[in-house]
Amino acid sequence: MLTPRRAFTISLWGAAGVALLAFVSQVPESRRPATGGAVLAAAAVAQGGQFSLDPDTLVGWGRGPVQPIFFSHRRHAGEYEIECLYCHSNTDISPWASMPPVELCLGCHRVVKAASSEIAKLRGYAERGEPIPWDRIYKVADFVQFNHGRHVRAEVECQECHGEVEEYDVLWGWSPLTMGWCLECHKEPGEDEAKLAAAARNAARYTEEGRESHGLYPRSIDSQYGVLKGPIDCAACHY
Amino acid sequence: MTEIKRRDFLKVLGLTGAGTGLVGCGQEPAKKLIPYLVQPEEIIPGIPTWYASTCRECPAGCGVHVKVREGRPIKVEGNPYHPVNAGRLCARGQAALQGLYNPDRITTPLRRLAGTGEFEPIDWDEAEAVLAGMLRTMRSEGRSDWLYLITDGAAGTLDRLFDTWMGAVGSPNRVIHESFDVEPLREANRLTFGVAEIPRYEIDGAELVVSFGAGFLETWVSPVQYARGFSASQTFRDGRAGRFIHIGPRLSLTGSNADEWVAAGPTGAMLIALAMARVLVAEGRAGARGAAVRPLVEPFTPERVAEAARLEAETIERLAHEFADARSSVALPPGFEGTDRNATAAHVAVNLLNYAAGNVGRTVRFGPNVVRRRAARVARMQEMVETMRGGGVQMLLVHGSDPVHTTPAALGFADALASVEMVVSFSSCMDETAARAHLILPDHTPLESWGDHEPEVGVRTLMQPTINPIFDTKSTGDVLLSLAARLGGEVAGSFDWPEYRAYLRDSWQEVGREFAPGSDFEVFWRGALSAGGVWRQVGTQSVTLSPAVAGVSFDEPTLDGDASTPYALLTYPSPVLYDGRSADRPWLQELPDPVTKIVWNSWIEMHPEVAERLGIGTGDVVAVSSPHGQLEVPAFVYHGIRPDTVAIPIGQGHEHLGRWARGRGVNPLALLPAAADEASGASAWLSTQVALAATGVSVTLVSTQGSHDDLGREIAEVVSVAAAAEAEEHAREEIERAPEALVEAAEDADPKSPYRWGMAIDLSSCIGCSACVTACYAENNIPVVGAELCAQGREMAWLRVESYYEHVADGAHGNGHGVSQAADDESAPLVVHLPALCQHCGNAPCEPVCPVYATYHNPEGLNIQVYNRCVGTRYCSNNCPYKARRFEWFDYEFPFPLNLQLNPDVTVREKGVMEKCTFCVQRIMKARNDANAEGRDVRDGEVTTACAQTCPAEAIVFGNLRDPNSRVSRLARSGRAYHMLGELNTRPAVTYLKAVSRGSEEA
Repeated sequence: MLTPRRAFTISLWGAAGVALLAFVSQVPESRRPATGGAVLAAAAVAQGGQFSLDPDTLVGWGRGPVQPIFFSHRRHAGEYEIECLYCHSNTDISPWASMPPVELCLGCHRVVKAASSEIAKLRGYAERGEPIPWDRIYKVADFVQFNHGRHVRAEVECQECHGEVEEYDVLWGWSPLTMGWCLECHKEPGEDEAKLAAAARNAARYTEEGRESHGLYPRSIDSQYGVLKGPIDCAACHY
Repeated sequence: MTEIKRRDFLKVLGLTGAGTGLVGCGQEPAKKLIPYLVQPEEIIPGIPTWYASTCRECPAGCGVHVKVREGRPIKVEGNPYHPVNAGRLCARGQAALQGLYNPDRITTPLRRLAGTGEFEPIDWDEAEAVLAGMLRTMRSEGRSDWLYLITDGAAGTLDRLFDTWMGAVGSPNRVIHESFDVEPLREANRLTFGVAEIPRYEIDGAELVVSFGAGFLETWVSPVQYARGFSASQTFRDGRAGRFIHIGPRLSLTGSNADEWVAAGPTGAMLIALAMARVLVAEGRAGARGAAVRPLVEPFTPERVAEAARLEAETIERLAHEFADARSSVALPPGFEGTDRNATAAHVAVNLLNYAAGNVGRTVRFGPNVVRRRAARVARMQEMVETMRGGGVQMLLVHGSDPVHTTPAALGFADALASVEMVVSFSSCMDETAARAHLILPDHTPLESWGDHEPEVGVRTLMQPTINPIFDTKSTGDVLLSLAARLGGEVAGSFDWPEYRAYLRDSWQEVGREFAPGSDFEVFWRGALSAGGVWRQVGTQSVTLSPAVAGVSFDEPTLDGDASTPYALLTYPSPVLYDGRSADRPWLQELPDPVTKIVWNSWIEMHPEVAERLGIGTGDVVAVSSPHGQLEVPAFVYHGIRPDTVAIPIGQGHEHLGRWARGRGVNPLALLPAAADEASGASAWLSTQVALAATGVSVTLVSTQGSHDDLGREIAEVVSVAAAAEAEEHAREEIERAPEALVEAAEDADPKSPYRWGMAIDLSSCIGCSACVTACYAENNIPVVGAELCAQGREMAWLRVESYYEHVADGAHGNGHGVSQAADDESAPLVVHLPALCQHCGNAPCEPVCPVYATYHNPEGLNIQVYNRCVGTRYCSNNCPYKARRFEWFDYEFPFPLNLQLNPDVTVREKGVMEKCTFCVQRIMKARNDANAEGRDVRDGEVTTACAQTCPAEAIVFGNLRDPNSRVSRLARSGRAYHMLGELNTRPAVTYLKAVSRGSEEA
């Protein structure tokens, strides 16, 4: 017989089950434990070891997705110290970070490591005229307007949001990309002297009393205008 | 069984809720990240590329800049350097994007299945082979002249290709059909001045504008250009404003901007113009020109014409005196809707009036003439229809024209099509003609095409593709070249260009020689492409009265019908849908008609007296019958039309053309005879009378404005010139005294912010054209909801243009607006158009009532709506006195490929969210970002909203209220400045400048 207690318990388990299922399905494939990776790694090692894909030596293995081409940021950005903006060009001027076109990869790899099995895959994509379907790792929500260029120009290091990319062979979602996490940084005191001075100059032109006497809008957000490292105004990102 | 206690139930509910909540909070599933294979040089992802091109939504040929993001055009804006539109664009121009991205476009060549109305896709090769085969047979059998080609009247390279191609194939039968042509004006100018051209009317230089009916602010010749000129002469500035008198049976959108409406009879224009000219001559005010004009106008005394023109003689005399007294004046002709059976004579009459007043060469300037191919006479169309019926047309090609929809049903074009063996349409959408074709070879839309256009003498503009063709379409130029190649022999020999683009480029060699003699063609070509074309100043061509004018007979035109059909029928091109070619654009269907504010439908305008006689009201369906046809259409009771006239807009009534146009409204061409203006051969739109009968059926005519009366709340304010001048003078002194002072609204931002964004809207400039509304839809991803939801008040427009019938609010000038036929105030409306949007109040009523802080005032003075915070209580909307907020009742669809138009810089809102005007915050952010990169503040003029950007009348100015020298600050300190519902102490950031009326007393 269905007692209230039992109904409650069933619902509880049911709800938990639904939640778990939904939670798992929400986790992108890229963040689930990689299973196919082992096969790929074994194959690569067996190929004669042009380079090692031994999971034990790969930093980040198992944390990020297995990409269509094995690309190591540690090799490119770490060992060879290639500038981030060399491949992700225009990220300092565009709101969007760019992904290097296949043509750019081949610019070097027509010569460099041309015999590697991974470069063969790259050439395969180029020859088939097919773009590389990279698994996306970082994505802000659709209702967030994030401007990469602005951050790069403000001298925010890539690593502050993307982690020590140059140390990883396999890239993974280092930061949570939650609003709270963004604000941690935005709420720090500003450093730009000129900006602070301008803010003070503007402030001198308006008296608090004038605004108080009209009983105007709440001001908890804008009291920090121009003096923090980044804006904490909702409309800076949400519109 | 024990009951489940309420408490337990709630616990269960709560936990289940928590589980679902957890799901909701999970991070979005990551997607694929697809890079380019080879990145195009000009594309930086995230940054728009702009291409210069030409708008082809009507024959005016405005220059446009197309904003392209990652290969997709997302916004069309006017080209600021273009001589025709100087950066401005109308609603139809803004909606060109929905022609490109229309989900009902024809996606591939189609062939009709024999004996049915169905089509099957075929490939281009096969389609061309079929055509070429047929042409070859026709040629070998000596029947080349059984080939007909119907096109629109645009001048340019494609037009020349049509001519040479038809010549090479051996057919003389090219028919140019322009829905609304300007032939009466051309013919009148030939008769009057010996120059068969369409001159430019320099409205900006005229203090007094008298229009005999032309809809020059909506559809006539070049509306954006004329709106600009009109705004320049009519806006109140430095204590003066021009005066505009509208003479005609109906208060159109153009007429609604008049200071005085002279409600003359439907065919009265000619007689009034003649009588005015006669007064000028008789009183010796025409100077030396009088002698030549006198014999022509002698018989037309005001007293004699008064009855026929249905206007008092005194009024005609007063108008003539005003016309002569004005420092500069211009009279505009009757236009399309006034084209009756003797329209050429009416145009001659207006010419004579202008000539007598000395305007020709000053405000009527020949030289920069409008370039338009001469349209076929109605007689020629009739002849063609006869030939079609008789089987003398074997193949008919139709390009850029929809004659089934835009010729009177009485012409019989649609039926005659059935006798043609092969009808080929080049339309990119399933218009009425295409639906009856045997073969459809879809052309690219203008935004996908190479092309050029010659809107006026001295202006040659280019079109370039802004996107790869979305569907399997092919430029008609390419089809013609390819057909020529297939025909082989001498035909192929005369066309040795591989593609239309090469043909176009070669034909521009000549333009290069004309505009940049001696320079390298490659340099010239690239320069012209990036500028959108080339143009030069054109001198005034002097003209004198031609002897031919003596032969013009000023007979009063006849209207079909008798005493049983007592109402003259006025059919006019819809300001929004033009001839109906734009009816498949949802933005335009949902754009309220500027006069009636009706969406998604047709209506018949009738005077309240007529409605009373029929015992009906707005929304009641009436049966309209003329000697030539009948239809049923709901009534719209309107003070702005004479009791002896009724009016139906042209544009709706499609059987095809896609989901948004099909089965909507009526096409009044069903009522018209295939009548022509005798002299010019142009289609006579004003040619019949109709009878009306109530049907007893009633429908909801969906209108977005409940009342055109502001009930004394002073929402739209009007002052007389004198009052305005005094107030402005006072304000000027104030500005001189304290040049750095700011308006009160400037306080409502964070003390440390350099910005308080604000807007000024000059009601003396606003003409109500509603281009701003469509620009807002395009910029801000605003969904279209359809007629049913509009009826429930759920339209999503962030910006609406309200129109109010106002009275001059100034004691000294009580009845300043004058209507000569005025009986009482109600029938004498002075219309004020008022763009209404979120006022971004400093003391916003919406903000304190939001329980989740989703709407708040940001440090730069914007009233922000945070979609992801909003929980949809709608308290804010309830508390907004301006009704500026819109709620997403449903998830609205953007069916492919309409979704490609969405602006990636603006969030697409979902169901349950409140939204409203943001002052185009994405544009502000862009400008701030650019300024930040250069380490400075945003400059005045650097950022503007989509509505202000497109406004043809430059009525809207956006900027920073904290900069005392910004344009918006200056305007906000104007003596005419006021806030809408200012007494509520909402402290709006939007300042309105009162409309100014120059009533008749002041003339």
